[in-house]
Amino acid sequence: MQQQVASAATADAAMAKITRDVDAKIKTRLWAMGLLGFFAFVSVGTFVYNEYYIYLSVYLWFGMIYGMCLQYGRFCFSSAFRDLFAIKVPRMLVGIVIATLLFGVISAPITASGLSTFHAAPVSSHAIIAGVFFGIGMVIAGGCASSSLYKTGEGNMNALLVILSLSLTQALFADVGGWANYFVPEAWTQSALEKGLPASINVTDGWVDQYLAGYVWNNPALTYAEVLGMPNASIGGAFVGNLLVGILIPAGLLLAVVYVLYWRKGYRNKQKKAGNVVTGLSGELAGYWAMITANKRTAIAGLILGIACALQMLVIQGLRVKFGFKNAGVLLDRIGWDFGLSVQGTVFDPGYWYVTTQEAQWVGWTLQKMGIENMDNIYFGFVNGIPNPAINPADWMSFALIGGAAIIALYHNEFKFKKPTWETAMWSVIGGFFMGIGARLGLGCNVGAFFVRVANGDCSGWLFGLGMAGGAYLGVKFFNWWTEKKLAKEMESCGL
Amino acid sequence: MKSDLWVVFAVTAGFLGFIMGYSVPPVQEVGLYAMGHGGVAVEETAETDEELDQYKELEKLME
Repeated sequence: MQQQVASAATADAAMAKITRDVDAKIKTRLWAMGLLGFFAFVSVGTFVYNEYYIYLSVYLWFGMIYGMCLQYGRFCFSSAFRDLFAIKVPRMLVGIVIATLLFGVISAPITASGLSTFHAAPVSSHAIIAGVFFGIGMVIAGGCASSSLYKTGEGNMNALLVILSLSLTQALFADVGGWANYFVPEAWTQSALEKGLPASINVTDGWVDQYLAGYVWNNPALTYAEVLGMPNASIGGAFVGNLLVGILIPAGLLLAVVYVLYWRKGYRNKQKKAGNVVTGLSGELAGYWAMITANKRTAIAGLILGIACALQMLVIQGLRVKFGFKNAGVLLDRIGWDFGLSVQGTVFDPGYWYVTTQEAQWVGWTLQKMGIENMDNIYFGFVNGIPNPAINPADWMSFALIGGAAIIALYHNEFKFKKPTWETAMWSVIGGFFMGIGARLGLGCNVGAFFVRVANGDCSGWLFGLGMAGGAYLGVKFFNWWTEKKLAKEMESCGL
Repeated sequence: MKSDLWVVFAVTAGFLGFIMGYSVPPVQEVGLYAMGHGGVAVEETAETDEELDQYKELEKLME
């Protein structure tokens, strides 16, 4: 009798667990469908209201795809470098390099046809220095600019703190003047004045303004095609200059170095245990191929990201032709949102995947609304503007990216609300600060200054990547030192 | 439950298809190379302030 009661109770408990699991799954599915429905409603509703809003919906749907890909591929530059330098595992880094390469392959025909919205950034040592700041920051924060977005979509509140810190730092740094002007070389000030910028920008007041107009803009903005004397919009320029010389060869060499330093030994030991002998060039090539194909998820995500990035350029260019403008500032003005346009009537409208500038913009807009002048600098006042985040095209992309990542995370049971501790919150804020400085010095983050630039043959892309690797190495060393110090302190307090 | 994910992909693909259909024909109309090689966009308006043309090159350098 007792046995029967016990087994009935066990069956009831099992049934209750199954019911709870089913309820949780239904709830999860409803959340995912709700998010999808929200984005669909926004797209359809705004289009019905005014067809110009389709331009913003383009950013939204591509942002959604980016979010899905990032979450699926666990696309994180911070993890890539941390795994490589801390535990000597190159899988994520290799996946990211392959993804960049695939994006380059897809971008080449777009560039050759002259439809690319991409433009190169100035090339100089500033890209390396910026990369160092960014690399340190992303390791300390535990996530890069793009992965912080998708991790926020997974419910990680540390990642949200990183985004907040990164956004705030950029907005404040872009406008810092006064005391900071003492650190500006006289040559930068003179050179900035010679640019003849509008008086409203007040170019002599602001460290970043003088850094940009007095130093960065003086350097050439070149692609590999242009270095080789070929136009970007040509078969030779796009495929030989940008793709072969700018991406395939350096990426192949980088992967070869990673293979020799981090993969070869482990691969040979594994093969030896399996009874296979790795000899000669064919054996090495087999090992190289095994390394490249080790992280299929990241590579697949990279391929889809590449296709999406290229398609976004095509679609955005098409809409610019259809509506007859070259920048979304004109569109916002037409639909009655003229607050926060730059002095040129422009807003940030990259036409491709970008992360950090729209994050700085919403802080800039908030500060402006609070009465803090933010339009007297080059970053906001002259180029990107600070439109209302509700109608900022690039902000639609970032919101949808978080949403897309959340949908995939919900479907894979990877969504979990993670509350930060005081310690993790501190690292998130400090890391976001360093990334914010790096992003503004380098005119972009791991996406805008590395991933997109390398894939489009911009000479500054690999320089930023080099700095980012150096910064990540320093970040890993710092964290190892910090952890050891903390462990020693804890052991001491335990009397060990 | 994962099979429901196809609904997400289908909706996303549907919107993407609409966006493509809406935006690509103008590109075909003016011709790919016309745009890429300095061609003028359809319905190009004169809303850009001519006096600000001097900043065009600077604008390219900044994001």
